Amino acid sequence: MISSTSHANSLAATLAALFFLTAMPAKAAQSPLSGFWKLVKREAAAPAELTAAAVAAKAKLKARDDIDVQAVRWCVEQGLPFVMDQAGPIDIIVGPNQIAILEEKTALPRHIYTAGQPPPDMKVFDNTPVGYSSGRWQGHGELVVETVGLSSGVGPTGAPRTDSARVLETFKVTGNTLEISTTWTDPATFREPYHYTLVYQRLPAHYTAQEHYCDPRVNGAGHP
Amino acid sequence: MSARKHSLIASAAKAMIMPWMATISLPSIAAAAEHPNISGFWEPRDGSIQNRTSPSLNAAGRAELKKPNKLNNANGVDPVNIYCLPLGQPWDLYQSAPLDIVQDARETTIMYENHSLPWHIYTDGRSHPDDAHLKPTVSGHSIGRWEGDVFVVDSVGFSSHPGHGAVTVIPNNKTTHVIERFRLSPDGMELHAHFIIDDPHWLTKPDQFDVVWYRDPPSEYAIPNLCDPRNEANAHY
Repeated sequence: MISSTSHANSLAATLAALFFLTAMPAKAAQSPLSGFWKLVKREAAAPAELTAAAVAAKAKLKARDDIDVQAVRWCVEQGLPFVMDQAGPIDIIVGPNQIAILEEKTALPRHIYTAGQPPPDMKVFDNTPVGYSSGRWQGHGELVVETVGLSSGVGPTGAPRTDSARVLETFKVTGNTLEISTTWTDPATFREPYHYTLVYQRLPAHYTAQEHYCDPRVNGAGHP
Repeated sequence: MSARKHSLIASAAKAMIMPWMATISLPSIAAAAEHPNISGFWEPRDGSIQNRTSPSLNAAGRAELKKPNKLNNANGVDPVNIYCLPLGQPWDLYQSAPLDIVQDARETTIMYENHSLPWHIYTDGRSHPDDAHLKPTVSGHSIGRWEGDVFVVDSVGFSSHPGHGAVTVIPNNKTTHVIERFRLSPDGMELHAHFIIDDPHWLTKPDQFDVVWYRDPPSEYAIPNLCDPRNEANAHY
């Protein structure tokens, strides 16, 4: 005997299948943001103005630019801002729910959630070197990304990255150029929001990602 | 029947299957091209690895497996864990952590939560490089194509590192060849893959098995498992 529950489940499965099938458009355009990008320029309108506490903390960090020298030596995966300006060409993949940014050197991938996913409760969120990033598209094809939930580490210009940091990035593609306007706001580190712009050039379509296999037993492993 | 009633029935049906399913936005399950889109977080469950038998090792494979490795080392020390050595596919695909898949028309990536290197699956129509230009990598050089609703990933050019490989703990080498065939279930809630791992250097016939993952709710997010070789706690797994 087939129960009414079975009928309901069968109907539900059928309707769900229809729901998924009808959600498939005939063809979606490839986002111009998708591709491999090589950093060609980094410019800041003004130097970072650090708080007194950050100046003292920076002196203790073993950093060069925004590289945590010791961590990279030991193959420890880095996060922001290293991912965007030190980890080799970045590979941006634009999915329907999320944008992934992959890098070639020892760094975590970035996950940028773009479908309005409910953000995690930051009271229980375990901060990470790349934090939690939410993205939204705005006019002229610009992508605005806000990142919170960063763990402590090395931030821009070798200043401390703290868990109170908030990073706002605007991605804009013009032809084969990608410009990312970046603002770090962190009252523990910066007296004023620190702003800089990263400029990338698109790499040829058939570029293949290079791999930097890092084994800490090898002398000079991560080459900081 | 009115559009409103259609909508109500669809909502009810979704709610019967998974309470959170009603909250999925349409683009999340839409296709990047004319194909299904497998983007999303996918999680294995007990029994996710199916139809797996012991690999058919040749004499070289059996001898290699007798060497000290994490499976037969009495104190359970795994150099991969101690030194945070990066892993790759196919090994990482059937571990316990969720997969995060992002697919666009040009490329698909599958990201893991443990220490690993990015996996690039090129779907722009390129071929594998010839041997002279193939640089071995942890996950190999991977190209993807659609055969109907099946996403076929073909990988060659694996680098060789001790401790983990496509065939249990035996290192990969130049002859390792992996084919995965990914397919969404009709309701989009399960992702099935058939694995074919061939390596005539170690095997008498290809190793084949299946894995199924289950779609995580849209609130799922990546939780990286950070590894620092300076941490003594890594010494045992």
